[in-house]
Amino acid sequence: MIRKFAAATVAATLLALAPAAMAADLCAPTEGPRKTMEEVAAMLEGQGYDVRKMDTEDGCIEMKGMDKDGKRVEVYVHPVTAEVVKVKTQG
Amino acid sequence: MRAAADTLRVWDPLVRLFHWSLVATMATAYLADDQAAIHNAAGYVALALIGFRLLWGFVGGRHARFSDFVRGPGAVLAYVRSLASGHPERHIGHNPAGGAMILLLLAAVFVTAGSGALMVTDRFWGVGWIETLHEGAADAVLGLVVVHLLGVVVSSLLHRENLVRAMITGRKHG
Repeated sequence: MIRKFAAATVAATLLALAPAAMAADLCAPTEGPRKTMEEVAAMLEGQGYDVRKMDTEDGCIEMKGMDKDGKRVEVYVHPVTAEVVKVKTQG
Repeated sequence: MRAAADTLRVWDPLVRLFHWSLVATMATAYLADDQAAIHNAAGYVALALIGFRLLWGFVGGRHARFSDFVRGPGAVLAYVRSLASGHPERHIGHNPAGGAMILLLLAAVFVTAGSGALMVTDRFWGVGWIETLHEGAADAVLGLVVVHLLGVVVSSLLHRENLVRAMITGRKHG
């Protein structure tokens, strides 16, 4: 009984941590000079985004703003390659 | 162990349900602060709970009404002094200090949840001041909760009354 409970607790903890673990790989450091937030902001503006706020999260450069359709988004950009690695759209 | 007949009904079922629901809601919001769906849902529930409590403060059970426990600063100071003197004032419902804490907590939770709700609107998305307000208010709630818990412990010891149990059963010693 106790063992089942312990196993369930470990499983639940791993499940809860899984999203964080996956996110950490997206912007794993690569050799090369890092882009500045200003550079990334300018790049995203050129792609049609309305940039409201710049931040960092899990090694990525994060932009909070509106996409070209006026939807709220969080855009994650690799700090070296400047590749957009994830876009989270808010409902 | 005193019999139930020696106790007074103080906290009505809805005010007790509100109290513990708010505890669960805020704990959820804190623990899931990086999971937007859960965090935001908890925030909306908190707003609804505050709305209920404001209404209940006017039409609810006797000791749930604001008129029962909202006092001026003089009364709050007098109560705190009575604690320090070792002869604590006896209040069946919330004592004046507890009453002040409730108002502060309701306000802090409201500002936290309200600013949070605004943060996910198009107008305030990514706007710095509202994010700062949300984080500051959330910190204030945490600080107030710590003080609240200390107050509950101190009052419980001085009045020889288990105030946590009272908020569960609704009953205090007569």
